[in-house]
Amino acid sequence: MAELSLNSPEVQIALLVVVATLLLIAVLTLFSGGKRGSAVLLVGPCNGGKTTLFYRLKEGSAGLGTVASMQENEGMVQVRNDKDRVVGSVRVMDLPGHPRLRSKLEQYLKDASAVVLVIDSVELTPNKTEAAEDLFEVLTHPTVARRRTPVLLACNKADLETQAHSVDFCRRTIEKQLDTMRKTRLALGGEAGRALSALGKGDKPLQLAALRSPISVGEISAEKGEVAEVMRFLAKMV
Amino acid sequence: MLDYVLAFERGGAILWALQFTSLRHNPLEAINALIRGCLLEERLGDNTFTFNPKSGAPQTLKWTFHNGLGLVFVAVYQKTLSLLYVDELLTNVKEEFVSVYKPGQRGYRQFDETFNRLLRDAESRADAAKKQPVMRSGPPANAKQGTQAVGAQAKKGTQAGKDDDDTGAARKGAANGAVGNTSDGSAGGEDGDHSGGEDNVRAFDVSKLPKGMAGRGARGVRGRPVPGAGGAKVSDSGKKKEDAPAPKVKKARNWNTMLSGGKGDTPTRIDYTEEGDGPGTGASDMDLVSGASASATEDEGRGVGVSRMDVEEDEYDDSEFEDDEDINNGAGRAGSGAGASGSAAAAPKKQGLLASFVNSLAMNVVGKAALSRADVEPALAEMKRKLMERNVAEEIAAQVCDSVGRNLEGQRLAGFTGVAAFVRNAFEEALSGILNKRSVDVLLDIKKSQARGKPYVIVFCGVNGVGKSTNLAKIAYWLGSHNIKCMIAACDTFRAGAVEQLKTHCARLRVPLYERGYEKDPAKVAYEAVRQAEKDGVHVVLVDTAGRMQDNQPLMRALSNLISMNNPNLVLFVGEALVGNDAVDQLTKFNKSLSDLAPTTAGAGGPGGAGEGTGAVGRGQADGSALTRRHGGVIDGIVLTKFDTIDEKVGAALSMVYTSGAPVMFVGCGQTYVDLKKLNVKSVVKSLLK
Repeated sequence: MAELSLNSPEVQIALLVVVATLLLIAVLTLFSGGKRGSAVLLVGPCNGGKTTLFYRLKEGSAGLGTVASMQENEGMVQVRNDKDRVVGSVRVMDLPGHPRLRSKLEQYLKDASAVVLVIDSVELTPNKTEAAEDLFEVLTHPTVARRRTPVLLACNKADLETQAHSVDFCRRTIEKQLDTMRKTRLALGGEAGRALSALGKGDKPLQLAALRSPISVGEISAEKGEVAEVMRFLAKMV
Repeated sequence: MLDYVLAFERGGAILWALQFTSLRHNPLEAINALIRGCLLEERLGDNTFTFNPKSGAPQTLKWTFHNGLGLVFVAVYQKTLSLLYVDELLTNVKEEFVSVYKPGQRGYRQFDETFNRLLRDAESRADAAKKQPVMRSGPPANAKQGTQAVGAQAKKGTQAGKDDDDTGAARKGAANGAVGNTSDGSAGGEDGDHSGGEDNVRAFDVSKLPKGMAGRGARGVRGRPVPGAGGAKVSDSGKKKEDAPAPKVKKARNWNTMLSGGKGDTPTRIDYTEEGDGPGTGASDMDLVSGASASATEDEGRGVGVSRMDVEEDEYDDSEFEDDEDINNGAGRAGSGAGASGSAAAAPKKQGLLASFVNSLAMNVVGKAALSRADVEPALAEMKRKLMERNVAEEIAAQVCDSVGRNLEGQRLAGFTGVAAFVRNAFEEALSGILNKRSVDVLLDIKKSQARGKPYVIVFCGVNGVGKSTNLAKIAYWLGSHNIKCMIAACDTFRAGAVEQLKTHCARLRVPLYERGYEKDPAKVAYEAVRQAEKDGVHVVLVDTAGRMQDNQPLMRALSNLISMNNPNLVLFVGEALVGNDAVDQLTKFNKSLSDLAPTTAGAGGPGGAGEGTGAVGRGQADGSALTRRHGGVIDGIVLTKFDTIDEKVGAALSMVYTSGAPVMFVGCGQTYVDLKKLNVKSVVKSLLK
């Protein structure tokens, strides 16, 4: 043991090897995509405007338009506060709304730091069941319930003033849907029982404000760029 | 002339668009319909899609992918024009665009010129080619497989409009001839098409018929596995599977007790005709409905009388056990022992060992090379064989494999994954996607109808002997356990004993029965039943219809009449899990006939399951039920019966869902009232890929 000093070549080589391996591992992890880490999810039924909102947040413009997403979009968004200064950046993920790809929702909810549910305030009534189902799935997800992940209900397409329903109306419609769903799903028993505690007790009508996870509601227009509500929400995440 | 050309990312952002003519509807509607109706439904094997806008002429869409960069290129043009150069044009556009593409940039104005140049070239080439006779290569290839393929029929249908082809008439004849045969689709059978006009069909050669049942291939007669094998495989892991928990081998009944002097088991009760009570308890009717009857199946330890719809399945994490099971499988089944490793090893053998080693090393370790069709081919073939072994209809397996193959072409492997694992992952996603359909929340809809004061009408249809009446009774039991009042309408006025069968069920379930005996018009019986239900304040009316073959036009017309007259909220197609290739035929014909033969058709729905936009018969919306016609077709849901008779050959579920686009809402897994459950998608996908 007397020879083990930093000057002996063996020890130096050994240290070098260790350092090199660590460097390699670090490099590989960084380059392999770094998918770990929390993200803000944009979810909601088809045609709600999630992809438009995503590009509006990321690049500040709506581009040439969008079609139905077949795959999720991911990117970093610069968050600006009310005075339009950049306070940080957040990873945002836009998930497709098509029912076939809904299994991705469960997968990504595990790592979500916040969820924005984007709904179409013009076509609210035909899509209210889907919107409520998405919200239901988000709220009853065990990770979301445990971490009390904040949720923002963004009523999109507010620029079509006469046709778009008001924020209050959207909120109440979704609340009523959730209430009915809660009753029927409770009846089915089993796994739903545990998760449903996240939705409050069944005796009173459901109020979004009264639930455990902090839920806020706001109206935006991704097309016209009025996304202040979402920016404020994201600012809390930074 | 083209109407519209578009390049977009898979994530949804449009990169470049060019509009040639102005249309009354938003061109993006067509694209969205394409994505939702075709690209996301794993129908990438079709190469055209027809969109019927609300105003204006129908349009055809053609597309191509660049999987490496995740781009899609679509061309839209009027359906009445038959433009031959579109495929070529799209391929050229793809190549040119890739050279201009920069990730993150949206808007490529400079590409307009390039595109116009390509368009001019393509048009001039097409004009030159028109001087020569055009050869069609698509449909004869399908016919050669000897299947009365639904896909081929659909193509024949859409290409009927473009009859600049002299064999078009003969093909129609073939289609009609093919309709008459029951598509059993046995592996050896190329004896399908008898029509003379078809190019590649040989005359029916008797000597080529396989001897006996051997020709049916790995599936056997009805694909029933030996219970021993199933038991041995699963007993090691000791987990409860949904279909057949390991120790649950059905005890064969020893009939010797019936004969005098025979040695047999003590007879457990099988004759229930007298006291009309539940199996094995000696209890009265009361106990049956209140749920005290024990189930005749071997489920132990569960609460008595709770329908298995309401019992949560064990969602166990199967990733740890996959390796064990793979090892067991390898040992247990000698035939498929070669498996995936064999297929991956077989391909390189052709190339030469060193080259192949370097190649696979490059792909697996470094992960740089893009996958080509040849790389995935062996893995795809293996998956197709596996799917067919699991009782998936042959054409469905072919279409799914084709579609996954197209998705994989040009993609890069992540480092350290092999081709087989990559393909398997892609399949898992694809199959989960197909099976994971947004299912109608029946209880919610019933509550909505209740609020409106109208009864919720469910119609059960299907071919003979699949279990309509049995499963109808199970669903009535389930609804009853949720305090929903139901009524059964006996609209099977043809089969002897049908009404009595329902009378017995109703007596045991204590549910009112509406019947008018035999030889009455089922549509009228249903109509009156619904009126009666409204008067009595009943929440749900379950309508039982007679079984009918899908080819029987008068009966299909009668069923269609019943549906249009009564406007049911839910039309359930009952299909048995034992069905093989016939599932595709049944569902297509049912969907098609029900929409085509309806007395008032508002634009009869397109090929079953493919199109979106024109709903079949306008119904379901008027009374506010939440059914939106996403899949185009009359059938809203599937009831999969006799699920307990198949261990892992669960492919019928996939065939049915793929063909009709409707979700599987109920699964019947036994013959007592509690044997009804939901489809466990994870477990089905796992069984299919095992």
